[in-house]
Amino acid sequence: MNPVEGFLLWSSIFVLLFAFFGYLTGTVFKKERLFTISHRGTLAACVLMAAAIGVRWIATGHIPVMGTYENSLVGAWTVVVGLVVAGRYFPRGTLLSLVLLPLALLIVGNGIMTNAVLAPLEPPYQSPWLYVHVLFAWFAFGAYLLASTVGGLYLVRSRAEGRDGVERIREFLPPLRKLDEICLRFIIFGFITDAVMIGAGAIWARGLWGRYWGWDPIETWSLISWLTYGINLHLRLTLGWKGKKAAWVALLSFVGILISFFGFGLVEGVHTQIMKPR
Amino acid sequence: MLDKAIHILLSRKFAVELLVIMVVLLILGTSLPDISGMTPREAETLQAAKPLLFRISAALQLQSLIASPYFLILPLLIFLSTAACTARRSRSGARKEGGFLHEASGASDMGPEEIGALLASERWRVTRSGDSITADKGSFGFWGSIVFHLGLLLIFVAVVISSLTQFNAELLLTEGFPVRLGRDTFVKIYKGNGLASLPPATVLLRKFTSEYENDVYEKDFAAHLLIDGKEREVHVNRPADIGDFQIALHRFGFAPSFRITDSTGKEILNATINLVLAGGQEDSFRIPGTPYEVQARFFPDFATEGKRIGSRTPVPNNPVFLLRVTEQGREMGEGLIGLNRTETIGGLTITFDGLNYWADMIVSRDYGLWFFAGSVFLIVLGLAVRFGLSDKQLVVTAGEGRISIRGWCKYYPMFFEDQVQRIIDKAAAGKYNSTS
Ligand code: HEM
Repeated sequence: MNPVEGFLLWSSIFVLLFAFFGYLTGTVFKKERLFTISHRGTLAACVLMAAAIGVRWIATGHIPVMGTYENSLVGAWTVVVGLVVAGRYFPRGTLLSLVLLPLALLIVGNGIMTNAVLAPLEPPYQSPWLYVHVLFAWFAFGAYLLASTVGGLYLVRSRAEGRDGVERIREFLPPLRKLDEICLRFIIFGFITDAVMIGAGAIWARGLWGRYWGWDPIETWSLISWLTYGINLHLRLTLGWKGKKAAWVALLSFVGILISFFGFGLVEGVHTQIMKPR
Repeated sequence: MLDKAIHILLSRKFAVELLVIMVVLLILGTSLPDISGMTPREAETLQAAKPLLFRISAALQLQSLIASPYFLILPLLIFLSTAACTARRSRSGARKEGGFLHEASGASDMGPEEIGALLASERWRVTRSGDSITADKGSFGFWGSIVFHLGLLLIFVAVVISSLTQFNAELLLTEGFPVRLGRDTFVKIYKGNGLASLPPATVLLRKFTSEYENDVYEKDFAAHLLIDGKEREVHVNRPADIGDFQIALHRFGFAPSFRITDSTGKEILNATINLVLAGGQEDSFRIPGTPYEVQARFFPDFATEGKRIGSRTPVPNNPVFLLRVTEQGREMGEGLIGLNRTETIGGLTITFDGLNYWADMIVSRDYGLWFFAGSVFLIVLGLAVRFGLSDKQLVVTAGEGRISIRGWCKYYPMFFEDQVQRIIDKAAAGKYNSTS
């Protein structure tokens, strides 16, 4: 890790931790001011992380897409960006932040524990299609993550409706119909960017392996995810599913994405095979 | 009968069911153990221990699944269903179905004329009949949906074209040894369509270069080819063309040359051998016509540290082999040998007189890619149009101090309600201000 990058990244981690505890304390002790400070903190952390990514990009001479550390860095940043975008719809942004901030911290923490050495882009990654592929993969992943989180919060709010203490939930969550629509919007955004991701990956694969589709486990899982969100959209838009049913589907769909994502390191597909003397 | 089939194909529920079946099969396919990738012994063990799992895997594991003709029925049904639905929808044109309804009203002094002008200024398409005004926006979005589903159909076309025209084979080249392309030159042919149209070019791996940063990180690998006498550089990710075919660099390795004589002084081997080994790993070769086998461990950049031996870097700066000679499985001896040296190991006199590279190339052809890329383009374009232009309609009645709006929108009701409210507020403000 380059020292400037290290400084920026660690600062962002501290700010995120601070924001998380700010939201937590604010929620428990009803301190309005803490929400404002935490929100600003999240924004600052988002900028700091972006700067860390930029510094690393310049230092290595390539977009950070290689290895667990670089992927975690960009992944955590995507989550924070998603939080900032979606947070606008949530009164005080707190419930969403309480779910997503720990997640972003976990992702970046996991990355820091691995090798963060500055290395050039390995030959298989040297393709402009890779940039498109990875960038859109993160868009899609972030959008699906948010869709499922919002779906989960929909279920939380719908459970609370008609019970005691519902006022408290109302302070923090938008009305059900709004949650439903936000969820749909993230699914749509994810579905479109996912399609771009798969298309760019296919063109890249053709130059690398001579075929654009090879049914390797990662490719298959990316198709499964895309079809799964296609089903989500069909259920919502052609069969008119709304409310709790649709929220459950959105929440569970993400499980598929997670398997595909963490499959990266675990599954022995061509995706894990790099050019080495053999 | 036909009517019934078409009716089912047009059903939206059926489309979702097909997609769900597809997803479930693919999930099973990737999760079940891959029997085709097992050794016969592993497969037997699994069959004995878990006969049911073995049978299910044999049928549904991804590689078996996609090769099965029965599986093709599913994408075919999806194709037919999508095609039928898209055809019917394009014929009937945009309809205001599904979506959300929203009604709102408020006080306003504006008449129909002014309301119409207000809406037109906000880029609604306005039609008037009496006191009632109909205003539309984004109805073009419907065609986005059609383009999107056409894109889906094109994927199937791409897959069919690929499976009919795809060629994909592995070609092993060793530095300095020319190869004439033809059926017998490939190590393995994965997809053999169109072999006849492969130009019978002569391909020579003139030189292979590998670049590492600080001698550690892989930076660039290139096969410098002569294809029918013409220089072509093939880097990883940057293939070259041979006619309609593409030649890409897939893997590479080292190919040492050994000269070996036995204890009677007879030369028993003089060859360049393609070894499959990464720095420090083992491979072995038999000496034909003799009982000898040689195991080789390679150290591209040999170094010693105390009693330990190893390679400093992956770069062949100081290439040394550790060779172990066996005779019918019995170990005869082992020893180190550097480039251009002669050593006696296990009774054999071995000269290591050259080190070259080999490169494993993928020669391929696939016309389906361009259809696939085209379909992704249509899919993304279609979706962007569909969801970017939110399809909506207002039916407005105005007069006698009131405005009421019956609104319909395809998606995004929350946004839509705010929009309707803004119109009501503007109408209530009473004055239409064209700059607002
Ligand atoms: C199996 C055959 C299919 C049929 C019969 C079908 C039919 C339809 C219909 C009628 C709509 C229109 C919804 C409306 O305007 O109210 C629609 C929408 C949609 N379909 Fe499909 N579809 C099929 C396959 C697929 C597949 C394979 C996907 C991708 C995974 C997909 C993704 C979508 C999406 C995202 C929408 C919403 C956007 C829009 O309205 O165009 N469909 N589909």
